[in-house]
Amino acid sequence: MLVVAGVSLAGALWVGFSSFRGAPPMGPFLNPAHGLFAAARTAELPDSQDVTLTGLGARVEVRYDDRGVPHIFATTEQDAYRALGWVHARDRLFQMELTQRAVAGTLTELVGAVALPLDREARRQGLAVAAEAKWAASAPDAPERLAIEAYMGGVNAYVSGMSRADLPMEYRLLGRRPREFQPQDTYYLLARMSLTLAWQDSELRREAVVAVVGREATDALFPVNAPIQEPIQPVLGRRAPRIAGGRLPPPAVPTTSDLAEARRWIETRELFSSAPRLTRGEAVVGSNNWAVAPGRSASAHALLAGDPHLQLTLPSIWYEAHMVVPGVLDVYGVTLPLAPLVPIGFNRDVAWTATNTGADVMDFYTETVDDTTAPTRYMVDGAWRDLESRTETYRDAAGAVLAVDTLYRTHRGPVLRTPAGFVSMRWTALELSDEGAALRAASFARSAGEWYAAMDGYRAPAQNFLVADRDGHIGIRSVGRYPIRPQGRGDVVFDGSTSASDWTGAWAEERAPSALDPAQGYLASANQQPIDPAVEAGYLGWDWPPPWRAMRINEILRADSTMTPDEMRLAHTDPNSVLVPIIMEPLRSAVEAARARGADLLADSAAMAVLDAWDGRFTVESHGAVLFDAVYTTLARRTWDEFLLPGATRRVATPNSMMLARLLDDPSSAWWDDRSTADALEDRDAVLLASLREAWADTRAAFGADPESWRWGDVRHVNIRHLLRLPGFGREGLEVQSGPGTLSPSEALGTHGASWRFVVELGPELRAWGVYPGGQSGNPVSSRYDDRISQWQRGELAELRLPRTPDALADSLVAGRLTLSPP
Amino acid sequence: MRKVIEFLLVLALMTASTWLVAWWGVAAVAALWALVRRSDRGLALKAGVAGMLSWIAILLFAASADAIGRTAAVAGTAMGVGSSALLILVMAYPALLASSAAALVRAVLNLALDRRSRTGSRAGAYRPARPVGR
Repeated sequence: MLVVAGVSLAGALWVGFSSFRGAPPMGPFLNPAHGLFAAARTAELPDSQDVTLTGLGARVEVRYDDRGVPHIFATTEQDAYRALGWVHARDRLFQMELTQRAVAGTLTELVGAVALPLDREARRQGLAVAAEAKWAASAPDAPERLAIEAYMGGVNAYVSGMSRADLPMEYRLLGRRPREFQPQDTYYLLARMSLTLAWQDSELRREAVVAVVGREATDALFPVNAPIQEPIQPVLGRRAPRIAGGRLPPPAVPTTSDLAEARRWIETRELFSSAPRLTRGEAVVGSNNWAVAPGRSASAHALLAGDPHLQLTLPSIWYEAHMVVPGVLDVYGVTLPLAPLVPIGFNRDVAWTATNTGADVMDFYTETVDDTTAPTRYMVDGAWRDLESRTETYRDAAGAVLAVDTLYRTHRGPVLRTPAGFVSMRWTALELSDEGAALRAASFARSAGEWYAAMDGYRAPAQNFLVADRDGHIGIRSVGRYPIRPQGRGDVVFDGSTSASDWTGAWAEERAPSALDPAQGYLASANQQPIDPAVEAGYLGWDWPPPWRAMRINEILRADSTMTPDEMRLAHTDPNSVLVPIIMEPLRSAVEAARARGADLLADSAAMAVLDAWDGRFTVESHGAVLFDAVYTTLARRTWDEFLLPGATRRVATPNSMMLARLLDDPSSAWWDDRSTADALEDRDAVLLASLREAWADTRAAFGADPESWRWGDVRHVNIRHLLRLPGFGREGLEVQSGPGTLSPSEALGTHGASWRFVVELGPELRAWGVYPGGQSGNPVSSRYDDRISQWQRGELAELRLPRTPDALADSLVAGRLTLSPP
Repeated sequence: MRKVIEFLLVLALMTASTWLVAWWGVAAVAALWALVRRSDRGLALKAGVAGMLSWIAILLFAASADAIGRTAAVAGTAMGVGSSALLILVMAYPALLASSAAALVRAVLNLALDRRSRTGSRAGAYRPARPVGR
C-alpha cells in the first residue's frame, strides 16, 4: 500500500510540476481556479470595472458597445492612447507578442525550436534592425513617439496588473508568460505590414522563368505594363479598359544547364522568403476600395467603401476601436493591436481606406565578395568595401542557445550566400521613414486635402489610399516611396559590382498616381496597375494583378448614378466575374467548331449544357460555377505546361489570367502546344476541349454524376486559422459567395479574403457600417471571439455606433463599462 | 451527521487551498486529514472524492457549465485529446492527488505503528485514534 500510494503521489506531483515534451506542467494548467479553465471566467466583459492606470492624466471612460467595440473617452490624446493600449492588451495580448516576435525572429523563445527556420528567415530579412533604427531616429518629443509610449504604457500596465486568471489560453498551452513590451514594438508591427504587402522578390523567380522559356517570352508574359489598362487614376473621357493585343513570342526550349540555372534561382528565392508572397500576378491579396461623389449618391453625400483583403486569422488582424478627445480627436476604425493608429477608418469629417499598390520597391543584386567562405569585403566599381556583419543568436524559452548565424549587409541591405552566389537586396521597408507619424497625423484631418498632406512622410508599404470627406470631395493617391533605377526598370537582378545599379532617388510625390474629384464622379482601386503608362511612363512595377475586380467595380459604379450605402455593401460580395465571358466565349466556340467537324462527343454537349445554363455568378448554390472553375483551372495547367520543370509538381511561375485572356485571342500560338505529346501540335481549341473533357470527368468523379447536386459552396471554402494554427481555435470550411475574378476572389487554400468591409456615408451626421471575419476578443472561449463570422459570410454589415459622449450610447447598447483612473 | 460535516469542512478547505494557494492544495489537505483520521479505512477514497468535488465546485462557481464546455472543447481539440478526456482529467487529477496523499500518510503512520508495536512500545507513546462518529 505504501509503495502504491507513494508512487501514485510522486507521479501526480511530477506531472503537476514538470513540463514534458513541450506540454505545460499539468498542475497549474489544470488548476480550476487559475489554470486553463479560468479562460471561461474571463471570457466575457464585466458589466462594470474600475482600474487604476499609472500614467493617466485624468479619468478615462470606456464603453464597450453591443459589438464589443470600446469607445474611449479621454481628456487628452495621450490618455486615449494609453487606454487603447490597455484594452488591446486585454483582448489581444498573445497576438501582440506573437506579431513582435515574428518580426524580431524570437519565436523560438515563445514556442521552442520548431520556429527556428522562421526566426532565421526573419532575421535574414532585416526588418527588426530597420524597426529599431526607425525608433532610434524619432525625436524624443515627437507626438507620435509620445503617443506610442503612452500606448505601450497602457499595454504594460495591463500585463503587470493582470490576475493569473487573465492569462490568455495560448500562454497556458505553451507554459509561458507575456514579455514586457517596448515602444518600438509598434515599428515591428509596421514592418510586418511591409512584409505582408510589399515583399516583392518575384525577380528572383523571374530569373528562373527566363532560364525556362527565354527572355523574350518572359518579358511578354510578365510585362512591365499590363495589357489591359483600367488604372486607378482615371483617364479623362475613357469609359472602357484600354486593351493591348499582339502575339506572344513562342517559348524557348530550355537546355539542361538552363534548367539547373532555374533551380538555382528558385532555391535563392526560398532562402530570402520561404512563404509564398502572392502580391504579384494572380494575387490572392485582392483588396478593393471605391468612392462616389455626392453627385452620384442617392443621399447627395459622398460614399466610401473599403474592402482590404489579407490573410484571415483568428483572432483577426484588426481590432475595432473608437477614441474621443473632445475638441481634439474623434476617430473610429480598425486598429492593429500593437499600435495606437487607425490605418483604415474615419473621423467626423474624413473617411479613408487602402488597397495595396504592389509597386516594385525591392531589388536584388549579385555581389562579388573577397572570400566565399568567410567574406569580409564586397566589390563596387573595382574597389573593395567592408561588409557589415553581425552575429545572431537564437535561444529557447529557457535561454539555451539553439543556433548562431553570422549575417552580412552591404550598403544596399542584407546579403545572403545563395546557390546563385552572394545576393543582396534593397527594400524601401528597410530604409528610414515614419509611417507612425503620418498615420497618427492623418487621424486629425478635416478634409481630404489635409489627410493627404498629413501622409507626406508615409513610405511603406505603398498603398492606394482612397479618401472622402464631408464636403463631398473624393480622392485617391498611391502613397509610398517609388525608387528610380538608372536602367529604368527593376524586374531584373542587378549586377552589384557597379554603383550604376543603385537607386538614384525616388519619384517626386506629384508624379504618384492620384486623382481628386474626377469628372466621372467615382474612384476605385483593386490592386491593378495604378496609372496608364500612356499617361505616366515611369517604371512603377511589373506583372500587375489582372484588373477584373476594378473593371467590375467600375461597371457597377458607371451603371448607377444614385448609389446607396446598401448598394455599396452588396458590391462587396458581388458574385459576378468579368473573367467568365472571357473564358466562356472561346470555349463555346471550340465546342461548336468540334460539332461542325463532327468531332463532338456526348460529354462535350453535356458539359456545355451545364455551363450554358449557368448564370455566370459564383453563388454558393451554383452548379455551373463548379464546372467552370474546374475548366478554368485545368485550362491554366494545360496551357502553361512549359513552366513545369521535369520532375517538379509545381510550375516555376504561372502567367496571370490577363495573359491567358490574351492568349485565347491567338488560336494558333505556340503556347497551346502540349510538350508531352511529341507527335501532335495542339491549338487553342484542342486545349480548350481537352480541358472541358478533363474537368467534366473530374467533377463528376468528385461530386457525382448529377450536375444538379453540385454546389459551389461545397468546393471553395474560406478557412480562418488560428495564428498558431491550433486545431479547434480556427473556423474552417466556411461557404462564401466568391470566385475567380469576383470582388471577393477565392483561392484554393481559402486562407485569404476580405479582412474588413465597411461603408461610410459622409453626410452632416456621419453614418457607417462594417464587419470583419472574427471578433474583438482573442479568447477562443469568448462569445466575442468569432461572433461576426456568420454576418461576414452573409455579406452583411453591422451599423457602427458613433457616440460623442459616454452617455450618448444607450444603455441597451452597452455591453460593459470600464473606468480607468490615475493613481 | 458529524461525518458529513467533517467531509464538507475538508471539501471547503481543499477548495480554498486550491484557490488561494496552489493546485497541490488538495494533496496537502488530504494529507492533514489522514494525520487526524489515520484509523479511518476509507479515508483515501473519501479524500479523492473531496478533491474531485472541490475542483468541480471551483469550476462551476467561476463559470457557467456552457463556458466550461466550450473551454474543454477548444483546449481538448488543440491538445488532441478531446473535450471529454480533458474534463475527465480535470476531475481525476485532484482525486488522484488527494487519495494518494491520504493513502500515503496513512500507510506511513501504520508502518510506524507496526514497528513500534513489534519493538515494544512505551506506555502512552501511541494510542490508536478514536474512530470518527462514535
